[in-house]
Amino acid sequence: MLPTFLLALLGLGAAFTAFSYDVGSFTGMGPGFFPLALGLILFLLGGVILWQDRQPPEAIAEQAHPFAWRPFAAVSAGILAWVLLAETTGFFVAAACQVVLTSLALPKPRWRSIAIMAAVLATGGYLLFVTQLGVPLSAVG
Amino acid sequence: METLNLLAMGFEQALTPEALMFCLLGVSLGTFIGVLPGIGSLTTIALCLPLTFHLEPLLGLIMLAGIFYGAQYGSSTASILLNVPGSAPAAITCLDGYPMSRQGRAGIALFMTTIASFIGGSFAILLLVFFAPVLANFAISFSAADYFSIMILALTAASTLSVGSPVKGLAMVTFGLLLGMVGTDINSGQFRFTFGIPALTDGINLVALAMGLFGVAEILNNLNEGKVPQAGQEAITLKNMMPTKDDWKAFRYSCMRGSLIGSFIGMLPGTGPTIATFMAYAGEKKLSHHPEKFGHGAVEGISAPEAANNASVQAAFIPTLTLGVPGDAIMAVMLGGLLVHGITPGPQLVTTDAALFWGVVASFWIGNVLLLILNLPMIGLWVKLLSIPYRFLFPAVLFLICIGVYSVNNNRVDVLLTLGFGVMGFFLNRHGFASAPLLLGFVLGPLIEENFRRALVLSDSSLATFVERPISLVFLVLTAILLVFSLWRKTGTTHSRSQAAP
Repeated sequence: MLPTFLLALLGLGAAFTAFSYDVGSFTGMGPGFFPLALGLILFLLGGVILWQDRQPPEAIAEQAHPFAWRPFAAVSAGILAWVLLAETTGFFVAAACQVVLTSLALPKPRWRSIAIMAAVLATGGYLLFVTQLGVPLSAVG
Repeated sequence: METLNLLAMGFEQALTPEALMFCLLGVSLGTFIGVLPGIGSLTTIALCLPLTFHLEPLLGLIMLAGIFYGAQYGSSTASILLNVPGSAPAAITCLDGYPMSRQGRAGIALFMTTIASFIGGSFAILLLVFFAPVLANFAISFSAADYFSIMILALTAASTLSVGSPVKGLAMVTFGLLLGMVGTDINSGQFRFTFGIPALTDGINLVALAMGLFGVAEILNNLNEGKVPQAGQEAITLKNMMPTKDDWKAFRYSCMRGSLIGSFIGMLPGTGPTIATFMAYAGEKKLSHHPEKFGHGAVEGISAPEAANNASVQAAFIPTLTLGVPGDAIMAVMLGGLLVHGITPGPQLVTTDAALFWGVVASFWIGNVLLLILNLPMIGLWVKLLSIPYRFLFPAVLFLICIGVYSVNNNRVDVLLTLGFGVMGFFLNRHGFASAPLLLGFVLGPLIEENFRRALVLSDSSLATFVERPISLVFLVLTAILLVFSLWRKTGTTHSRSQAAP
């Protein structure tokens, strides 16, 4: 329900934003024309889906896998750590934090194997991407 | 004759040591990720895309394509041994492959799917060789209006023909088209939906979007479901792979029918291998004198879908390379990769970039032969891969996604976007919205807008041009039929879990 609602809202928002660009007309289409049309279509489709899902037969099937916070938080935290650290503390710290944090997605973490994995991935990744492919990141700091 | 000469030239291109190496690399990597459930070929292709920017276009395309069709070979392995598809199109192979494995016939099933894959792939390559130039010749007369209409048809087909609600598919396509608008408008220079973020002025990074929607969302979903399959070890040797006489009899015609269906479906714009395998299976079951055997280890139930799978994957290159209209999300990513190299697929590609076109085609054959070698004598090795625990896999894949996305533009914002798209895709998938139509819409969005505008300029702003040109009219009528048909079918399709993977 909520995702559909958000999609419809997004369509409406896009259509409104498109108004601030030049919409033009068929004879002289402005950059706002297509986004406006697409936004309205998305809004319309969202409405149709909401209407179709009034008596939700699907909703029952979707209860099969209730949302779990742990893996979601761990994966997000891992990627965020990379975004925040890669350019500040250097490749190795960022990579290690990312691997360790995402590994926490599973219960009962095995610290030794996580540590080994972090070391192997960070070293291999550094050699491939920084040394070989020239990605401009420093090893530390 | 001319075709054969061109093909010979293609082999010259594809048989250089470098090309061979990238072909082997691609198909091995493809088999590797194909065997492993939980990592899709789209994630892998998107990951390797930035690496190919450093390569010649031909080598890059050979490798990316190799991953794509290599994964189709590998993906049946997990279906047969674990009852878990290595990738979405192989889902149907579980139905009869896993029962065969339970009957102690896993080796035979693996052998037959490999042979069926090879035959299906080879058949479609032949079609590609002889049909693509004809199609390109025909398409050279396509105008902007015709392109607009065929792209609309492709998007409609991709969103309505997949499993799940067709309206949700259409909503995702529209969302994708909107995301494709983000960036600088080429006609006016106006920034659209950039919200003052400099990283967005060139548009949303394709790799970030694909990695989020497929890589990150896939991992979030696997972890959320909490069931990560592990294989029971069973020795697979060449000796216990030999099919019996009856097996061969069942195999022969079903494999040919699968190849035909797969090639046909693969060529259509907007239809991917998943549809091809479903149709091949349904067709075999209808034709069979023993439909009750299906689901209990019928050989036809694995040979036809596997042949169809590989045929459709190879045939999918026909519309992508000759028209520039990709059939599914994976082809859309390849198209995006070609565009980055400054190559615009289309009818002129076959003539102006003949070396590239024929080199790639030749590499398909080489790749399929390599896969036959990789999958038959070395099958035991791949089966062992299934024992790699998921707790090693997902952190490694996420690490590669982070650094891979970063390396495209050396920009942290792209990695943040990847996370955003991943979370978005995860929640949308949970509510029955498939990601593939979105990605297809994203890649085609700018092309559709451009062709729409150009068509109106050429026709003095008359919308009638879209129905006055016969080719365009045919595509639009087909689109209308599709829409009516899929909405008629109502949304009550019983695929309760429209997890609709790529």
